[in-house]
Amino acid sequence: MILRRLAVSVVMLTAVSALIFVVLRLLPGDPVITRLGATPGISPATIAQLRKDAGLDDPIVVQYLSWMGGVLHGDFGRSYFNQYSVTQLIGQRLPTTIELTILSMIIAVVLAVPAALLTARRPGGVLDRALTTLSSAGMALPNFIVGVLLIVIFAVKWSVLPSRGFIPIGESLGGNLRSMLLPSLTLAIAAAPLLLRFLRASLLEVLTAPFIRTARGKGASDARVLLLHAFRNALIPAVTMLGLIVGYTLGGAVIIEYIFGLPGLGSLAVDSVTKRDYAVLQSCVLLISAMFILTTLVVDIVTGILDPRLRTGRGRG
Amino acid sequence: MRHRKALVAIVLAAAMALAACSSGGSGTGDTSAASTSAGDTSAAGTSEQSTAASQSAEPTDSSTTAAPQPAQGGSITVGAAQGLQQLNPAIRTFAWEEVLFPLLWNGLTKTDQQGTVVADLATSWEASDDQKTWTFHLRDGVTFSDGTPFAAQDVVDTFEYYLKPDTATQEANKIATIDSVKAADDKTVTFTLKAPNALFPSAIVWVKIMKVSALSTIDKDPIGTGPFVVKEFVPSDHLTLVRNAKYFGDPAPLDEIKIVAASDAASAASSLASGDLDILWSLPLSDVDQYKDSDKVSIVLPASPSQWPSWEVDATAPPFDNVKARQALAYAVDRQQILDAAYYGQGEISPTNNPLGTSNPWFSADGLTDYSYDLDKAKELFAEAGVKEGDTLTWWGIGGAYPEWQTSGQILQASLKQIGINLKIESNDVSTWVDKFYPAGKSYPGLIVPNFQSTPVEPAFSINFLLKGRCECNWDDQQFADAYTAAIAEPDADKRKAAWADVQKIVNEQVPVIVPLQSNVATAVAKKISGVWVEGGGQLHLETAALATS
Repeated sequence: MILRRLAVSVVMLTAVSALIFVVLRLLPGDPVITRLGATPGISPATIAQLRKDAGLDDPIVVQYLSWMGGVLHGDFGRSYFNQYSVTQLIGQRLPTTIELTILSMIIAVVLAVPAALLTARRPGGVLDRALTTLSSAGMALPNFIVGVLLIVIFAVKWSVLPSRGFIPIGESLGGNLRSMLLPSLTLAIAAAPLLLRFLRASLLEVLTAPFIRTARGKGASDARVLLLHAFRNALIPAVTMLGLIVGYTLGGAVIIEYIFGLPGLGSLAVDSVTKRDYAVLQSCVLLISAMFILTTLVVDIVTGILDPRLRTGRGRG
Repeated sequence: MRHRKALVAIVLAAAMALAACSSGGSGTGDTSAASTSAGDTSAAGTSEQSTAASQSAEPTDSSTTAAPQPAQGGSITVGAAQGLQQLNPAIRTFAWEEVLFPLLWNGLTKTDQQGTVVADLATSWEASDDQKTWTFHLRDGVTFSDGTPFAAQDVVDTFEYYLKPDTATQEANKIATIDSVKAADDKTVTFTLKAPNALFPSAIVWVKIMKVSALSTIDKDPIGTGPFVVKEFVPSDHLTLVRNAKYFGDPAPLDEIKIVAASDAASAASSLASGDLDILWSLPLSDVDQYKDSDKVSIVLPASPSQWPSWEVDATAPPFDNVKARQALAYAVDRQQILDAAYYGQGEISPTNNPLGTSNPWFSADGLTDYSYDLDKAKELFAEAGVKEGDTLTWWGIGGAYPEWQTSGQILQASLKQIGINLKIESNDVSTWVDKFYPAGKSYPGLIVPNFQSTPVEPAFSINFLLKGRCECNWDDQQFADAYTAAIAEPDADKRKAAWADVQKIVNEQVPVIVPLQSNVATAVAKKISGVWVEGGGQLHLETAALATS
């Protein structure tokens, strides 16, 4: 089953790469012109030579095949704007993106799961209404507002956390966590409400199921019913949702990277679009797609473990 | 018990939300105003940013220079809306890359804070009487950052690299006049020029001497002679520089300079307030006023702004192939309103539509037409050029970045509307924008393309943009070319001023580009830092920056 999923993933990635390759080249402009930045007095012969050196003269199919050929050998090409290979550029930025995604997901889960359990205990109660309102606010506020607000409070007013920059784990673990706290919190404030609402709805649904009544009838305490019986079953759809939220977070990360001055993949990708830095963007898109596909794969495996009914090929009558 | 804990949590959360909302009120202002520059402010830093002679570019805010006792050592963080993407000075694209010129490199000559051309790697120089042969004597005891000695051959290699046709350098215009460069001995270099050039020492200020044999790794390990060397580089994100122990001059006061991308203007302003950023270059002009009374931050401006918006039109395609249409457009520009509303008063208007600002020492108003806002004249001239009521022109701008362009376009749109001409405003991304009119020679009838030039105060390196094949306006005027050649060949300053006056007359009459004003480049500098200054074109100088002792 995993093998089949992987095969489908490879086909999807190829399609995505071909699509982005073609679309990028349909846009006006090219990296050579952008690189020159309207430098006056450049002769057309020089521009033609620079295009030729960059391989932009070849037919688009040839360009694509040569790039894909490189990718298969682990060579993702080079930036048109400096001497760094795409692998190096991405390597400089991948750790930030991965750490940001993981930390924000952990914070989102830590915020959302207890909140969902509290709200589901007494639907319609004061607690429920307060938390649901708060979560609406969290969803409604755009990332860039939340980010700037957190900076104003924690960095400018209280001076307890840095407002920008990234400190690698290798340099200082404490410094790293301090630099990542505000950006992760910003992303989590957007992601947690989604998870909370989904988990709450799914808990409420499970709580009406006959087996819950049975459990209660057997004399199990409220807490036991909620945590052991209802929560475990409500978790399955929520984990699927979490996979989608990771994808959503990867998208929102671009703005967060700009606000907090983090060297991540998102800002690298956006910079590459405006500069038409083809090889860099293609590889970023490929990588982000691969990360998304990988996440959904992991989610499927996890839900399979949580719920034996979803496992295929190992049916139990 | 659990209940109470939850309640406490909610009260806390609500309090935080309230606090967030209340500070949100004051915060929103900068967010919206500033977020416009969150995009890629980069590519349009185009232009003739060139060498030399920015006349007296000392900081206008005395508090910056007169800061408390500067100390040796320390580290500062310097931000700009865009990151640095590469380190080779020869092929720089974006104006911000010039911040590295005085930090990593040296030229044979350089300009000081007063705009005077002074010695750098050369200690003295002389010209032949015909201004065609220039000899430079080099400094002793200079070593590159890798420890190898600097010699005349390095100068020859560097200039030959800059002169190669496939080196796409913005310096090409200024050094095109070089016929040959030779090392007479280890410490002497001789240049032979194709035409007389009395300004040659200022033409080569931005030709930075490098180890050409190390070019292939220049983005990873640049080898120069400047006061700093590279410690770490993540392209488009940050560059960390540390003091160069082998520097031949006075050691730099700072241990470390970190240059970072601060792409989001709202959060950059907050970082400045929290002290996570010490310097922020090229502030959004709308933000400059808010630092007027700040006790932490001062604004450093160039003494004589020589950055200027240049609105280009195609002088070879209708309607702007007719000089009357260009003059009409010059009259239709409400310069004062554009300065006030689009540039927040940061600059000075140019009523004579002149690349040289009114505070430029070479400026001459003598005999120039005043193109102050006059819609009647604009209408009349447009009619003579065949632009009728109901016709449509297009404003070909960039979206996301440069809010001042957008506002300028809207003001022009309102003005033209009054005389029955429509202006369609188009906003593009940088690559789409540049592809329409660049390189010179492209036809773009009916388009008005906003751009800007950050030039030195010296006219030779601002007005040369209008020479044939350089300006995308495609203007070709032999009389102008002759007057320009005569001006740069004149060694006597008084006579040269008269020659530049002739050049200005032709430009004023022919209106090859629209120049509404000269604009400021504003830099926010924390008050604890001294020794920071900005050239007229906006180039930031950090080589003498120091932290206060306290």
